[in-house]
Amino acid sequence: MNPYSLEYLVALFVSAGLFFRLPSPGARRAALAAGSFGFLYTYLPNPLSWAVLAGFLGSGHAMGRLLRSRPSRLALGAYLAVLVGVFVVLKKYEIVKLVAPERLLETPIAIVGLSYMLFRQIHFLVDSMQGQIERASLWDYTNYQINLFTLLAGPIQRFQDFQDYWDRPRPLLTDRHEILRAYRRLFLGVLKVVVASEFLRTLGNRFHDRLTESAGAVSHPGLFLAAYLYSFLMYLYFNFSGYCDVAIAGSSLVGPRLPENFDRPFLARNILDYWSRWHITLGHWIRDYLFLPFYKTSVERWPSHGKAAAVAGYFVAFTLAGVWHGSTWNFLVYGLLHGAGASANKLWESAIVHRYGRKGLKTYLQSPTARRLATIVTFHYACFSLLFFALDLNQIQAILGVILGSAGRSYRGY
Amino acid sequence: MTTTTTILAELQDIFRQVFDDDAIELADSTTADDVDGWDSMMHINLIIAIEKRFRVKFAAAEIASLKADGQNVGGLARMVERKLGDPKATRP
Repeated sequence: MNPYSLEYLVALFVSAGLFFRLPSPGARRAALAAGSFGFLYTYLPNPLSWAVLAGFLGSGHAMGRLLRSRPSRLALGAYLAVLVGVFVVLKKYEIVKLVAPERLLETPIAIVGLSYMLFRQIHFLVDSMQGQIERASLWDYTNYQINLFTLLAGPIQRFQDFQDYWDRPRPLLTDRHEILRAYRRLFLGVLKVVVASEFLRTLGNRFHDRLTESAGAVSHPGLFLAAYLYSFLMYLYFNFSGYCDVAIAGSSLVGPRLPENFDRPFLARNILDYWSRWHITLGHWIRDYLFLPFYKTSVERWPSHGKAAAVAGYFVAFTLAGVWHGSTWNFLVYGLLHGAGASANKLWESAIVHRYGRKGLKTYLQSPTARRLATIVTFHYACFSLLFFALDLNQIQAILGVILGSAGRSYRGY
Repeated sequence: MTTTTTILAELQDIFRQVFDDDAIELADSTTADDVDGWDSMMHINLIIAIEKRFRVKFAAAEIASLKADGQNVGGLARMVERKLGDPKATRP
């Protein structure tokens, strides 16, 4: 069942009308749990997938309990190494073929939303170890992980925020105006996904097909590639932000308040700003659980190499985040490009500070012209990087072959 | 006994060292927007210096929350004060 289907929306509308008429918090929790398990049931294909999911979440919960009573970085590191190993096999990463028999990838196990569960599990464990989560029953934790509003693709909610609602399920929207706004957002979200993103996907596919099927016969292939990438970026935006509208608005009617995931991303002035506006909860997760521990540990050990630690941290964080997006090698390049973009910006700002001081950096950051230019550069950089998000390396090679072939013919005067 | 006021004074000293700017004057209401160059990286540099000076530890979630919208230096000082009175505050 997808969240834009008629049966999902009807079920949501009926639930929204009845949910808070349930007399007790326990009844509301039971109703939400039934919805989440029912939603999950429509996605898990076999009992083995249920069993592996139970092991994935059960081991995470047990580890959380252990880390709360006995904080240990070593235990956390060892568990995360195993967890990520299992994740890499379950998601059928190409790297597995290099180090293990290929038949390992021929598994019937398919767990929807596993990538997001991994992020939530890592956050849960780190926060448990650091004393930020004081209690979590297996039932609470399971419902946090399989919550139907965040199961498929986030937003990545923090456990503490979920628990705040789960302890006392209560209406979030207090007046008629807010409720109407939630329904309007839900409706617009469905339109963004079903109409706008579908149109842009079809349009992008046409550009892509013209580029590849005509095998070099098309004139100006570079323009077709640019048109394909712009369409793809807009498709992604409408598809994912539409999904988030449906998830956040739907959850506000019966479930917990979810964090926002988009904030006018095309106004970002650099790559770090971009990730604080596009898929915000992922950007914050990368910052808190990848960049922060890497940079902090490095600077504590080598205090005079802060700039090098930052650059290395951006590469490590964005490369891992890139690889998380998909199992093929192109996602590695996608992550590296974003690491390079973030590093270039940091080095650029450092150079301004070095030459003009912090006041000079402030003047630069406040300049409307500099902001406009930076925004344009960032938008096109993000767009270009999507080449490695949309296509695998073989497809990219074929397309670049068409473009370079065309350029060669122009040069030779064909 | 260390009070929020004395913590604020020590924080001001740390801020001046980390940002290399003796003109910084902190108040409870000071936010990241009021200090030139207080970005995510400098925020971590500040936290490292504060951890060293006060011998406390901040969790990842706390570090993020200290620079979230609506947070100010007063909140940071109160968190340090709370940690100084809490033996569990030096967790890894």
